[in-house]
Amino acid sequence: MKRLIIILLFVVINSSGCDEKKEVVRSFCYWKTSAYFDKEEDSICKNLNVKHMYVRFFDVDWNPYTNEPLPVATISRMDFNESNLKITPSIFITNDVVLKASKDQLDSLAKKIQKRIKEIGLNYNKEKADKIASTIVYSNYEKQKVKKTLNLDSIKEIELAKLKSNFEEILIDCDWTEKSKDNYFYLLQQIKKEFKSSQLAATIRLWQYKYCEKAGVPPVDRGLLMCYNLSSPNDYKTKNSIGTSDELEKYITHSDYDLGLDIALPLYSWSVVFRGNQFKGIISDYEQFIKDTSRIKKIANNKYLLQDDVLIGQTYLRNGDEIRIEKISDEEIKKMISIIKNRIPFDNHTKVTFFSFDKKYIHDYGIKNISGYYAHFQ
Amino acid sequence: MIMESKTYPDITRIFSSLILLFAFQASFACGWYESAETSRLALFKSEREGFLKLHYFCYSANSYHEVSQVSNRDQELNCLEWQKKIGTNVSTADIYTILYETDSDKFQAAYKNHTLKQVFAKNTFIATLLRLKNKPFLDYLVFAKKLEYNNIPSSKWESWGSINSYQENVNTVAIGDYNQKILSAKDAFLKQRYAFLILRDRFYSSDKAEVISLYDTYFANNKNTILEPWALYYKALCIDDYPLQNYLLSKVFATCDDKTYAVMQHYNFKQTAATLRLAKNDEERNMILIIESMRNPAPDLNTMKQVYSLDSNSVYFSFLVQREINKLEDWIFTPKYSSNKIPAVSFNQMSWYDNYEKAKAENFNKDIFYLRELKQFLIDAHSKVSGEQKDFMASAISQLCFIDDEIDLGKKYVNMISVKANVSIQLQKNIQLALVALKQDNLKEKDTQNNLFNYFNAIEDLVQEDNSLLKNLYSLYRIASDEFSKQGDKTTAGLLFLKSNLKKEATDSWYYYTPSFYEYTGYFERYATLEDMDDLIALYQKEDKTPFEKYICAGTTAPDVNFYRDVKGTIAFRKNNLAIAYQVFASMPSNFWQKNYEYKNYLNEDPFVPKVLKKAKERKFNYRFNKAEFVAKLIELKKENTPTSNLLLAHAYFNVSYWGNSWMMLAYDWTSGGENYSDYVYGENNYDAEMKYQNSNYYRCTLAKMYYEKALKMSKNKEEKALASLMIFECNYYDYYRDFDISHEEQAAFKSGKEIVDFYSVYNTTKTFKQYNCPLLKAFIN
Repeated sequence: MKRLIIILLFVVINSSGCDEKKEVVRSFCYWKTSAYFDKEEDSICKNLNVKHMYVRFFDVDWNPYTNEPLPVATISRMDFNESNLKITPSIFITNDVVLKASKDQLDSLAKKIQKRIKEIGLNYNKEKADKIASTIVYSNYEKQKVKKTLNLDSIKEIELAKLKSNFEEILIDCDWTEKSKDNYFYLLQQIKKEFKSSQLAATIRLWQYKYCEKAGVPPVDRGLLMCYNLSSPNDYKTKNSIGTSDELEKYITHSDYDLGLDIALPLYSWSVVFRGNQFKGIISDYEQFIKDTSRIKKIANNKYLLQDDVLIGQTYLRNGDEIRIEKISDEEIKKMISIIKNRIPFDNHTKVTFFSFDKKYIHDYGIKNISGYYAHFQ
Repeated sequence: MIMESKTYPDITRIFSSLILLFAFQASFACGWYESAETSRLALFKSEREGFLKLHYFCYSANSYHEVSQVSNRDQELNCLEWQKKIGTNVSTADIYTILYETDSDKFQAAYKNHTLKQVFAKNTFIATLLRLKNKPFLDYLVFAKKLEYNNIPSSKWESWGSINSYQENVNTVAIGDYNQKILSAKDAFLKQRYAFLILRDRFYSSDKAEVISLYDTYFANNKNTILEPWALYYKALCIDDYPLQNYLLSKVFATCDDKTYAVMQHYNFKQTAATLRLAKNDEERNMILIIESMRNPAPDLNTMKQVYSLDSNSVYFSFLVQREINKLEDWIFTPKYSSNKIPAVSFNQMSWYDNYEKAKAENFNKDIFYLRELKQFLIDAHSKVSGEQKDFMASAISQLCFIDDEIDLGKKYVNMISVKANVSIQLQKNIQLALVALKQDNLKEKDTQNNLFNYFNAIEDLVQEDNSLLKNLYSLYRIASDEFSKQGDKTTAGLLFLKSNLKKEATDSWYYYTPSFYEYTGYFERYATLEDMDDLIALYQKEDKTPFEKYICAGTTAPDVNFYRDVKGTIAFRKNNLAIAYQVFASMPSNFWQKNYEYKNYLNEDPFVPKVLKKAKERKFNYRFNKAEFVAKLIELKKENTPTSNLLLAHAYFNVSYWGNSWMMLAYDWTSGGENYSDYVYGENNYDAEMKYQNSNYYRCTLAKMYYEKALKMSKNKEEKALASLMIFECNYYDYYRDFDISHEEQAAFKSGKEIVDFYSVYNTTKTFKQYNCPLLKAFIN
């Protein structure tokens, strides 16, 4: 009996260890065609303790004329300045590609993707080595009493050799359908073969999560669950097309997904303009003009009415136009996080990423709030 | 010469600093600058059918006028040619879709996969091309699309071979035996089209001889197609003889819309006489003159007369009339109303800088003389023309009348415009009726204001379709603001001024533009009286505004009525009317000066310690300034009238001067010299007005000196007397060096006065002396 008590006590003590706070990996998505960080971005990463970044390297689309998958919008420059981030190269592949490519083309595509990621990575490392070498060679030059010039090329080579040439993880992003599933999963298997020393991850949209039996579970090491873009912005009746916690709850209905999941949450906003009930367009830089209370009247929490004619970009908005601001509120994000936390298992390796890294939106939500979102996962 | 630079660092700091203040100025980081085209005023915009192809050549300060819409007449003609060839059951819209709106990728893929029918379902052109008998036409189209694929500069496709973004497959499709292609085409229509594709391809391969030969073989004798001027354009560029090249380009210009801009870019403008010698008839000669005139920024009535004499109904003539009126508007209106104060386009620019005011007056007289000459010519012509040209001319004449303030005659011609006149002439009529109302009517009357609202609104309604109208609105509101100001209504004038600026900003910026604190208030702080401010505040608070009032207030009124109260209080303070200033400031929230404008950054030091006595490192910028409390303190000190209170009053008046730490009590911006932002926006230097602030205290420290003198006289305390003496010297010093010109040798020398002598003799044992004396200050004792 005594022994049993000791065992039980041991179990209780040990299981209390399960309640230890889990610290998720703080991450962002970088989805622009060139990356250039300065002190401000560095400071954002530092203050938010961001350790990881999904970086869109390029897209792959189907060229209907040459009948082959071709790369599109390759990232032209990557300079994350002083921010020391772990990078997951991310490749967006259109559903058309997986639907139309032959098996041979998919084999070849996997190889081409591997080669391109390697090339971009090498370029990134070269630039990084270049920068480090320049700092070493030139930064103290002026202060030296006896001027000695180090050989820049040799230092570059040494620094390049220090940098890791492999990425720990590769992310493939594709909105696959039931119809394209087989081809897509085949492609993922081929890509996996090309990246023997890296983990392979795939994005999972909410419908693919909810209906995982139909959509299948991709043959990868991890999934990145994208918890946003739940409806169409041009519907006048939609409350918020970026997402709401109510809608999210409808999709995250189970906890049985056969893959470890990382989480992607939205961190952007836009405004949708309606004339009458008709959709007129999306304006992303709306923050400034809604402050102009003499021309814009607030009619509801997220709705504004124009009271003057203004030209924004190439859109001439008229008196009477309605602007719906779509932004997930602080409270809503927290609710969404709670829903995710309750249903999706996570640990210290789980990455929580925000789409996307943009100073404008980060300042809009505020460093403190965003930091709170990460902490909310604990 | 600059002795004082060593004698007294605090003083020289003011002279040497060239720091322009205020964050809002940062948007003009390279100085107060807006492009000449942005400043340019233009009101005349009447058009005729056929102007579209000429839009690039509208009068502008830029090399070419920016256009938002281009003519597709050539493309439509090509579709008609196809329709005529392939069958009238095919719609030209369907042909247009395939030829001009379908990506090569999409078309090629559908062709390869035999899915043209499905991909382009319901397209009558595709359906007809798919008939067996039309195979040669389909083959041609496939060939054309294939060439197009290799020549799309904006293609998104990249290559797996490189991580750099560049187009895949550019120019890799061999054109093959092109002669064979042309020769094997049995149909003349197709032969010509193959020839055109190959001619263009040869052009880009710099095969000049082949381009000329292909044109001469397939187009020279068969000009009944829109492809001919397109082909001629390429041929012209292959000819090295400039006059001949010009001549051929002028023929291209005359016969098609698509190449007008390209022609103008390649035309050699220094070959006029030689080009004219090649013209075979008056019509050709005229076209050459028209092209030259369309790039001429100077008066060009002679060319217009020649063009008119050949064809009084010519659209080119009408276009030149529009350009000429826009020139006059630029020469007359832009200097008068814009911030730049000189015409946007100066063709004899140098003469403006020798003696600007003289040149300006001379040019104005010259311009008015020219305007009247042009007007008379158009009046004579008006009776001889008919249809659209007649309406256009009436519109042009009335516009010239309004520029010349000949309102009755202008009205007469406005009334001649028929109800059938096109939209642009009707729009012009609204602008002109607004001008009539502004110039002739009592602007205080409700009816006049309602009419103005209707005219303004009619123009605003059309901006949706034509953003370039924003320039007309900018110009019209600027003139309207001036007219309201002349009639003494500064409230409406100020709001219309901002409205005008908002329209101007909109034409120049892709970004939404929100007025700043100063833009809401600047006009009023410069031009309004206390009564004007009461009117403005009353209008702001009025609940049942008329449509006109609503309109002028929309987007132009400050988000907070206290912005206006702050201006009103400041105006009262400038008049040294402390009672009203206090009353107004006290009615405002006490934290207003912490939360608005740049007060927190520039009105943040103790106003009772003279700035000049503080070393830079001693200055503290954490004083919580409250204008109401400050003015209340001044009133109290005045009442006390003791030596100490007078000394404190003097310090305060010193600090609210240009030289002090609280200049923001009187002014909204500060510069160490030259034009500041406010001067730039409102187009004139405000120095004379500022000189009058508080009986000249702002620049000359008159009140400060008066109170220091009073304190010196009344006080029995040596320390106070020493301080007052030193500060009287400082006031004298600032007053002298206020407009000291080092290049002006005749200027009387600075007299430092008795007080500084006393400071060094009578008071040289005081603590004040010990604290503030400095060896080189002594050098001022003369």
